[in-house]
Amino acid sequence: MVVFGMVLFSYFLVTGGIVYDVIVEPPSIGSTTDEFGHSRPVAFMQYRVNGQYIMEGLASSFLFVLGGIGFVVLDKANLTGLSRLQRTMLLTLGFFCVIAAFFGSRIFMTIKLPGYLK
Amino acid sequence: MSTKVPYLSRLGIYRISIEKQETLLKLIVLSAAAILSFSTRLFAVLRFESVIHEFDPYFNFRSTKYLAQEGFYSFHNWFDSRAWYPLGRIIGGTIYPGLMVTAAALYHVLHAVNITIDVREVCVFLAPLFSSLTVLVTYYLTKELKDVGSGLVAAAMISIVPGYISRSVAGSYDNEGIAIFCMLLTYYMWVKAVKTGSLFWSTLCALAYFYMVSSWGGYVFLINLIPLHVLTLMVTGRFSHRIYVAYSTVYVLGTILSMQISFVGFQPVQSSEHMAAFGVFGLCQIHAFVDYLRSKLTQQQFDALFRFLATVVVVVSVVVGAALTALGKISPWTGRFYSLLDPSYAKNNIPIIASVSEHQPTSWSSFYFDLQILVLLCPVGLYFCFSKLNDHNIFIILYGVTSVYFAGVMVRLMLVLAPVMCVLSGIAVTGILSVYMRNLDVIDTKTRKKKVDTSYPVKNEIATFVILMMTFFLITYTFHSTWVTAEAYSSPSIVLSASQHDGSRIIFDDFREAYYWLRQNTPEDAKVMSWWDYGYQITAMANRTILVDNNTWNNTHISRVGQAMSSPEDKAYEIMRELDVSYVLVIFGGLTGYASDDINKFLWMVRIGGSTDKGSHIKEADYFTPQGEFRVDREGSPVLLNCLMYKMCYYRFGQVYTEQGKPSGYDRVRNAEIGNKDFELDVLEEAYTTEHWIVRIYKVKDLNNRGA
Repeated sequence: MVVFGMVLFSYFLVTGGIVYDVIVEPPSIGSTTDEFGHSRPVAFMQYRVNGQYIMEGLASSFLFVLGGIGFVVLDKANLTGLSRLQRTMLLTLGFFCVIAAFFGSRIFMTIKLPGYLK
Repeated sequence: MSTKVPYLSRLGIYRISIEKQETLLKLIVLSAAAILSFSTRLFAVLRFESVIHEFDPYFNFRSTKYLAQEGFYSFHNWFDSRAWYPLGRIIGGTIYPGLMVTAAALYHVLHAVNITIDVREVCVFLAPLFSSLTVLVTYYLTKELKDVGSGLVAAAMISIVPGYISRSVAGSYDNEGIAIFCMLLTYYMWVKAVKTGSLFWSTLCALAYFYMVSSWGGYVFLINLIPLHVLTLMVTGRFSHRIYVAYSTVYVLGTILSMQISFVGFQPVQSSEHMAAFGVFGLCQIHAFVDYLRSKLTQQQFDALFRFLATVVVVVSVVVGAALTALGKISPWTGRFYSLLDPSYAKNNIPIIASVSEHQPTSWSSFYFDLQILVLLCPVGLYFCFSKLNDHNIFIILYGVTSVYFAGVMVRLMLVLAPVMCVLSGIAVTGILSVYMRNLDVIDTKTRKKKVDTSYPVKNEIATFVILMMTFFLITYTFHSTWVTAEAYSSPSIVLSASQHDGSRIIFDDFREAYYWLRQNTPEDAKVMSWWDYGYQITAMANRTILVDNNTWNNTHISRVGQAMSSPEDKAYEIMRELDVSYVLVIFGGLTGYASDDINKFLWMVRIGGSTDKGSHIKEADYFTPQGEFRVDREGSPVLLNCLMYKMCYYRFGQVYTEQGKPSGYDRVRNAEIGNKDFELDVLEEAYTTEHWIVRIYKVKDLNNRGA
């Protein structure tokens, strides 16, 4: 299971686009100027599927791994020999992780590609 | 399975047994998935027509036509003098013939039963056909790894996964269309061979590997993954006679068979990419020999002999390996594969590899876009594999981890990741569902023995909720996949379409218009110069000789073309006379807003042009403004405003009004009014410009009758 932990960590890094970050060196957060001349931060590089900022990549891959962990927790919640409290906590954690990850990544994609699913 | 009375039979209607119900269910699911995978790839054919897409497929199509007409021997010995003028190209020895042979074989089989469809139709629909076969192979592979349930889920997932669809739509006639099928077939045979240890399955694996080698250069991944699997089994102490038989057979037969392909030649015994397989083969023999000795000798004799042999073998192999590499007998890793291990290598050293858009590293959104729910389920599948480790689970874990890394390095390799994601997600979905299905209360009308488990409140309701949630996720997966296929991956790119503000669609068929003009209005032996992207299309559709094409095997020749494009007219004329060029073709998107035109690719032409000796006077910095910007308006660098590419793209463009409220000569892609508007061409004359100015063809003027 230690190996599984290392695999999961490397999965987090790779799906966050770390190779893209190293080669292309995008900024961590984009910036745009609004109508008053102030510079506002931009979290997602919009309109492009093949580009990203560093923070958005890591945030999204964190959601992916969270979803995976949620399912693993849901599987562990079914073991015999758990007390009622432990089981309730595991189930709540599992459901929360899975639902947050699924809808979170969906929302991230909608922010990134304004025409997503139209 | 005990003979329980099936539910349906209680209705008195059907009395089929459980086994027959299961078989019927499997049949229905698999045939639905196969038909679905074929139909979902047909969007482009329905919207436009049955036409070959992109660039590379045109070369494959031309080769298949040649093979179907001339036969295998002339195909294998084909020297093409109409590409890479004046060098020519040995086609027979520099391609992977699997795709063309498969299509030509299918063509001949259909003609033999009097279904006389054209070669083009066979080529267009080959990839969807093989995707249906991939669905079946994925089912068998996952069934071997886990059980029937995961097999069915994985098959259903791979039928619509966008990562695989992107390279196998109808019309995308490329090696990957059949390579994924061959790869999964080889893996299935390998897993079977490892599980049974029989010579039969190992031989079949070697034959499937031969088919894989003949179809795609990515076979290098297989010949490194299988030895890696064997090595991992050795390290974790799972080596047995089954692995020994399987790997020895596969390596020996597979290597001999792979060397039958002329393009591969002697690489399996010479190049570093294949050395790992050879090393593991040697290690296998040594390991098996050591095990044999251990069973025959006493412990002390064995220890002494082992130490002696181990030192001798290690010293000899290190010395021999170093000597061969130093002498150059073992070639180092080639550029394309080396850039997978060191991603910055291509960016710093080989601009041609770095310039291909498919070779860029992957961002998070490409992962989600191509795989959606599978990115969440993949770690879960790995978890289930880790919890029940056995020989074949280790294989799928290795495959999954390595392909995630490679897909992260290069967007194109997302294709290799998609099948293993489907397999792992199939295992994950079945794992979760089988655990929670058991918690459901099975309604028994006769007795209702409720053994309430106090530590598990609302067991039934939670199980129902989990199952419904999983169903919801899978449904959104299908909606996402179909949307992505329809919107993003079904464009033929030889025909463009855009929707106007009143909703109607306007079709841009400029490419074919220009190629057919070339075909009908230029002499047979005319030489056409263009950037290498369009080479295959020009040879296939316009049937004219070209200088450089997508094969990009000769960097110096491409660099010469790049120098011609980046130099002013008089210097470029010398290069064009040297290469006997009569026509020049450029792609220009400024009128329509088509963004993949030659001005946007121009910096790559400059970089590649300046990368050889003859082009050392071309410096990328000269084409930028003093502030470091790439501009085509009045502020642009004068070197840029006077080079051949600029003049060819913007000739007469200064008098054209493109948008309301903007001055004439407004470039809609760069969003700028061009700087150099009124100029005449000295050495070229305009031959043809297509309806929307996307393709522009120029004729190279002959030398003056009287000198100077």
